[in-house]
Amino acid sequence: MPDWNILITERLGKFALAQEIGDEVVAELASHLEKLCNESCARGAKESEAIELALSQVGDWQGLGQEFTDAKNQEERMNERTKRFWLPGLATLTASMLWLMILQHSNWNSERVPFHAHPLLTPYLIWLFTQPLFGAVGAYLSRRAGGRRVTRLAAGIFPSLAMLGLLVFVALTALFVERNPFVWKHPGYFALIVFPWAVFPAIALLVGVVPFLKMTKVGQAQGSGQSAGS
Amino acid sequence: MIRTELKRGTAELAILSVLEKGPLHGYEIARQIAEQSKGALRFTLAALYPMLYRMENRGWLTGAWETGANGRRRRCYRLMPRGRNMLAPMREEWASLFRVMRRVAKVSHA
Repeated sequence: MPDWNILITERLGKFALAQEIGDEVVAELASHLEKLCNESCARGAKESEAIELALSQVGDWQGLGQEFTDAKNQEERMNERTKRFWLPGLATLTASMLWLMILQHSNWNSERVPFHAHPLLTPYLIWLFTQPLFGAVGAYLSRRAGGRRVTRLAAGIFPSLAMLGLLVFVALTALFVERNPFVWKHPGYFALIVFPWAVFPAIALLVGVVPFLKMTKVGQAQGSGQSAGS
Repeated sequence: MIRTELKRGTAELAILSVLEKGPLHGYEIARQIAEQSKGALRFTLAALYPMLYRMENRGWLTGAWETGANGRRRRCYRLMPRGRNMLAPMREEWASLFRVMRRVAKVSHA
């Protein structure tokens, strides 16, 4: 029996676009072609004929290379977006919200905090002042996964983006679905919520993100090598 | 023989349908479809595997590597819930196409 991996690699290797096709695709095709070949041999064909017949079942080798490359690239694009944006962003959001919950459930008295604020404001202020840390974590995770500058920025300020989205959704629901008369009369109150829960945290998160926006040598190489990375 | 364009449209439904009965390797998927269609639907490898990969990307199937008795690695494809959910609407779509064609072109089921 021939080495199917070599036969396949030779044929796929003729086409520049097929060079990205990995060992797994070759292994899968080899398994299929071997079975086709065995089937022909079992029906009485000579081995050389069976090999030719099996290889002819592939059809268009160039098309196969292109199709696999397209399918693989699509998969990689999706994985890269997940690794560079969604995972760091969601990790930052989760950590930030958990921290807020912990702070809200803690017992705050004046001796424990170095500033004077209303007891209800204290957990919020501590949460706000610690947001740069979470922004840094999001941007760092994105950078480690190879995220571009804009992706790191988005991952770092993701908690604010999510909060803004949520607030807009709630406001629109109150305005157009519930037709809440209070919201219709006082639309400016929306800003009073958006600033403390989306704008100020975004600024605080950004403080932590900025140091991670600098391009590393690896990032520069990846950026120049990819035209539409996430 | 069925025209190529129509075959392309039926391919996804055919793959989902054979996988509905249980997980299969690429070779077995192609063989079962050829057998059940009495040779009318035959996949080249150039058509079958990229299609399997695309269906996997969409979350309709999942492929898992296993090693056969001869040491050869091969991928076993399994239908995912999202793919199973696609089956009924796709079947209905094809059934309605046949109904329309029967009226318009006097085509009947084989």
